Amino acid sequence: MSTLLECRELTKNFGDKTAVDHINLCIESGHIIGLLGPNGSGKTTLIKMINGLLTPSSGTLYFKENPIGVESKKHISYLPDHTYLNMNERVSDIIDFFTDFYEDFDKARAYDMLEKLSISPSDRLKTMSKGTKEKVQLILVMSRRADLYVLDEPIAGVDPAARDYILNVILTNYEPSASILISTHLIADIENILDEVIFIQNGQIRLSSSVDDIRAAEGKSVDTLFREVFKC
Amino acid sequence: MAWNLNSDRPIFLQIVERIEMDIISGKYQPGDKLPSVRDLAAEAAVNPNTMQKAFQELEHTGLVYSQRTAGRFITEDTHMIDELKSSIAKEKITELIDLMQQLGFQNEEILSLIQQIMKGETS
Amino acid sequence: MLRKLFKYEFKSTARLMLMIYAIMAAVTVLGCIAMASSAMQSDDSPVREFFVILAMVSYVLGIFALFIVTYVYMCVHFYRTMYSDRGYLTHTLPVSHHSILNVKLLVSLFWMLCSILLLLLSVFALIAAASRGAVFQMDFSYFLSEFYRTSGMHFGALILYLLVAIILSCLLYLLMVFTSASIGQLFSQHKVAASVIAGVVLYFAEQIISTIIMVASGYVMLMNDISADTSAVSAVSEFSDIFTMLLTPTIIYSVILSVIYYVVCYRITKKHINLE
Repeated sequence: MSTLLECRELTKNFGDKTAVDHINLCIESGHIIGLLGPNGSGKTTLIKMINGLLTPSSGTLYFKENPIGVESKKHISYLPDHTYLNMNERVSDIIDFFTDFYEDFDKARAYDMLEKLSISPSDRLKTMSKGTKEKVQLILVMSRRADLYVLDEPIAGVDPAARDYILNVILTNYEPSASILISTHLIADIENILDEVIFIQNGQIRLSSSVDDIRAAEGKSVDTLFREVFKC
Repeated sequence: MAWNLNSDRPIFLQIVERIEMDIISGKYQPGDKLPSVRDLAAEAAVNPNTMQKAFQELEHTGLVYSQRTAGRFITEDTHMIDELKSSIAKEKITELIDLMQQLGFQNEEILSLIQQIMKGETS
Repeated sequence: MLRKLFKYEFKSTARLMLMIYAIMAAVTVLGCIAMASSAMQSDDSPVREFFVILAMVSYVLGIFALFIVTYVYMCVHFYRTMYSDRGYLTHTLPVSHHSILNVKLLVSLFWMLCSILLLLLSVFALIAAASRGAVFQMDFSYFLSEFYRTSGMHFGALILYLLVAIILSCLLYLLMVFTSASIGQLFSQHKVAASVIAGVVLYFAEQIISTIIMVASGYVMLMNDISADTSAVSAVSEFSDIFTMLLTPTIIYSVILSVIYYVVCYRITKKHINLE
């Protein structure tokens, strides 16, 4: 086991608003971690900094002891919370693109998953439903053999049956040494696949614990605890 | 199909109980090889680390033993399985009696009620 | 990686560019037919006249469209792939910010130069059609020596000078919009509007500075003329002198400004990227 990601006093301000407020966080390899928090709590801001889409205002962020950059992007597979692909392209074109740019991309695995979900590789993205687009994106992201997968709201737009399949995809497609960071507010659906959770509120870490510890100590599910902690 | 897991108790404990039941019911015979952590985690739709923890717990009680390279196997000690069976039975019956007492039944009443239901079912 | 970036950048821009080039070729052919027909026949049938006018109007519109589409499309494409949703993919590729910026710049520059080349070819074709091919029989070596005799400058040097100036100004205007797009995305809201405003501001600032430089270099030239022995300055050397005196500051100025824009653009993409 080794440390994949390390944040120290990580902060991001937007004008006078602080989205991420002095976060200290360490992600070890071999875990599935839930990043849980209400809307606007700073989840997506944190995730964007991990992927180099936002520059921190202060603090440090290291992936395998190196700052975020070309090297970290080779080993972090990122699913944004909305569509980010060229809608005019065919799925097969995008797979070629990923194969060309990511050395860890497993083309056979991608085609295999597409077939299981009966998505035609020759279809253009713009002709697909919202849920299907999300499935395609998840397939692309999970077809990489990355060290860290960062999934921002991976199950928000799909139906419950597809949700089960997606969780299965996530569980069966990562290497034991890799870690997965999943941000979501649909906790009940993914609670069982998590081994650790991080509650984030107003840009700060409210709680960081293992799921079974929460259940043993509180006698309630993470979902129930979440509802209590973030009661409006 | 994901396993039906209760939401407020530690997941690994529920997995342990589920596997214990599978052993008692004979789904896994003594000496059988258990599926790998990864396969069973995917089947149950739980985190592999949680499954690993459940396996360790089962190893700790002696119900499962691991052979370094070959994997994990169910104990061949049938005596131990029988013991587990009777301890679970006792536990469940105690739970039932507690509940009945809460409902206001006396021990004799509970017993006769059970006999009545069992007769009704068999006839 | 750089090769792959070029490949995909060309792939994603080629479709629209080739389409506009096809349209340009079509209006050129139409223009050539119109030119040739009016050169061959002298009768003024209203139908033929109408056709000639129509062909010429569509030709002029075609040229405008060629340049507007090339330039605007390059700007829009840059913004879309860098700072809209698709920027998520662009900026999570395992390539450096330098590579991304350089590839986008060079591919855009390539298309702009292609458009200019196409325009030259098209105009040449039109002249050839109007002169009924006489342009091919022209004595080129006579033209060259005559050019040198009257201007004191080699024709090749003139072309080279102009080419450098054209490439540099294309580069400058591309970098200007890339920079304004980068500045625009720094705003938390109305990023596109902010980019457009930044572009307008940069453009006017650029115009003011270049006017000042033009006036200043004109002044320097005037001073030189006065201080020099006017009788000794022959008319022959004057053209090349004026020419180089006007173009050299423009070229230097373009290079300096381009470097500034590039640095600003790079710093923003590296340090201040702000995707929504």
